[in-house]
Amino acid sequence: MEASNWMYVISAYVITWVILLGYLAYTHTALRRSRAEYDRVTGRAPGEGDAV
Amino acid sequence: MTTVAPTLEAPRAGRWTAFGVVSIALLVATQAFAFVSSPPDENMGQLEKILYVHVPAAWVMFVCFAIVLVYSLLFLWKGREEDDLVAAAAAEAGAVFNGLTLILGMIWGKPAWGVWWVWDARLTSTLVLFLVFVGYLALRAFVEDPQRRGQWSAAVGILGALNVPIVWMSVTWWRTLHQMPSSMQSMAKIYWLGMFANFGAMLLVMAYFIRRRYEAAAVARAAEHAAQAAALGGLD
Amino acid sequence: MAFHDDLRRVRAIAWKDLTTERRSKAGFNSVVALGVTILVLFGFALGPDAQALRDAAAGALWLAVLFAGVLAFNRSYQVELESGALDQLLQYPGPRWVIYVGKLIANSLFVGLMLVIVVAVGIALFQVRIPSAWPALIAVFALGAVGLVVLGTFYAAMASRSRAREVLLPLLLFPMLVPVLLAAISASKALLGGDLMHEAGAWVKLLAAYDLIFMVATLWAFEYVIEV
Repeated sequence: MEASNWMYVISAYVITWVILLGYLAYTHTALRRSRAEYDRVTGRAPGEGDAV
Repeated sequence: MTTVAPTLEAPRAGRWTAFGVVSIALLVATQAFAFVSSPPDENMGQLEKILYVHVPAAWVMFVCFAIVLVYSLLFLWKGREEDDLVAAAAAEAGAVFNGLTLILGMIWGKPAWGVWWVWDARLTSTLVLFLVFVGYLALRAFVEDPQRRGQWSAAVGILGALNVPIVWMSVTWWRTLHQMPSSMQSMAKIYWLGMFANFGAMLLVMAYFIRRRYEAAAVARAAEHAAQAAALGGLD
Repeated sequence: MAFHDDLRRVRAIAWKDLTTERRSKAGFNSVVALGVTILVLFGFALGPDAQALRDAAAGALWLAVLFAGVLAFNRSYQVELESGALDQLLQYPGPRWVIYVGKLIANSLFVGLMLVIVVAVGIALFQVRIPSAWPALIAVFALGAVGLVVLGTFYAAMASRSRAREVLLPLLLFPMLVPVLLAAISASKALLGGDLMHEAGAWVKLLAAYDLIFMVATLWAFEYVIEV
């Protein structure tokens, strides 16, 4: 009983971090993509502009 | 009648990267603190360690949906497109924390009650709330026109938030005919410190998520404006 | 005086929608046929034991009404969209809620009539014994139907004008209707079972409160939804 409870506890923490870090990665990918798009249409080279 | 402000500027990145690093690090610290400091419960054994992520996630989810309500009202009132984008970012982050709450609730339920799911008042109304905001996000995905998307999803968000207490009440009544909703009143005071510390850290992570999602959406909209301006020959 | 004019506009819109439905009965007939079909399918899923059918009758009836009703709401805007009549409708003088209330009345009659037929068929199919408190049962069905029509008409104003309207309307509508479903099913079940514990009263109050809250909220929000 005790040992199997540990399994649930550990999987709960693992899943929490998988979801949080996964969403974090997604937000950064999305942000990078829209910044690249913004730089493209405003005619700046990627990373050159300081407006975003 | 509201109108979208035509000059939506791309927000500056500022110090949000540092904010994000600090809030993630803080969450790691508070989780480690709660994990290590909490003594095993006499009834639940080590299981109550799940509550340090489950309960704060549920609270953060309510904060997110409160933000959706406030910014949806603000958008319908003032018509600033930024408010609509904040509401959308909060709805998405809220759905993430909502999903996390549900999954953790199920992981809790299996050893505690012997089943992955019970039609308990909390679990069930959390699931209904999740479905409401999945609908909100689906609506946004299916509507292109920004003005239309903003006003429609604001209406859906406000009505959804309005429904939360009613759903909660109806599910509780439905359940109490069979069993009392699960209660955490047996928890000792020392647990609450870990709980609130985790809530605080998770709130910061939530703020970071919302900021970044808002930023991505705002930059994308600014890019659309710039592309339109360029197509009209108005860009210098 | 102005309010009197608004009422006249409401009547005109409701009349227009109902006339369209009356001229082509195919729409109404197929919605009713679908409701009955769903009831039959529930019978297959739950039957043929008479007691099991009787116990599940309230839930099956309400789900049949819900699934059939959902088809009615998109229809009420689709007619406008196909002929471009909505833009014209928006150019007429008068406040926006007039359009909403007019459609609400038309949809109430449409869904109400459908509900009467489907429930009558369901009572026969599921071998339901009509309780002595049947007026209360009628009140429960009326209040539940109002909740369904209010939110259905409101959400269809958006869903019918978006891509993927077939999936979007139920996706938005069904989670919102959870309290209506729970209250209506529980109250119907209690009344059909004799309501020994007097549960139905609390559910009827909840239904009435829900109807009132969302009637006010949708009346307020409709302007923002229909303008764009």
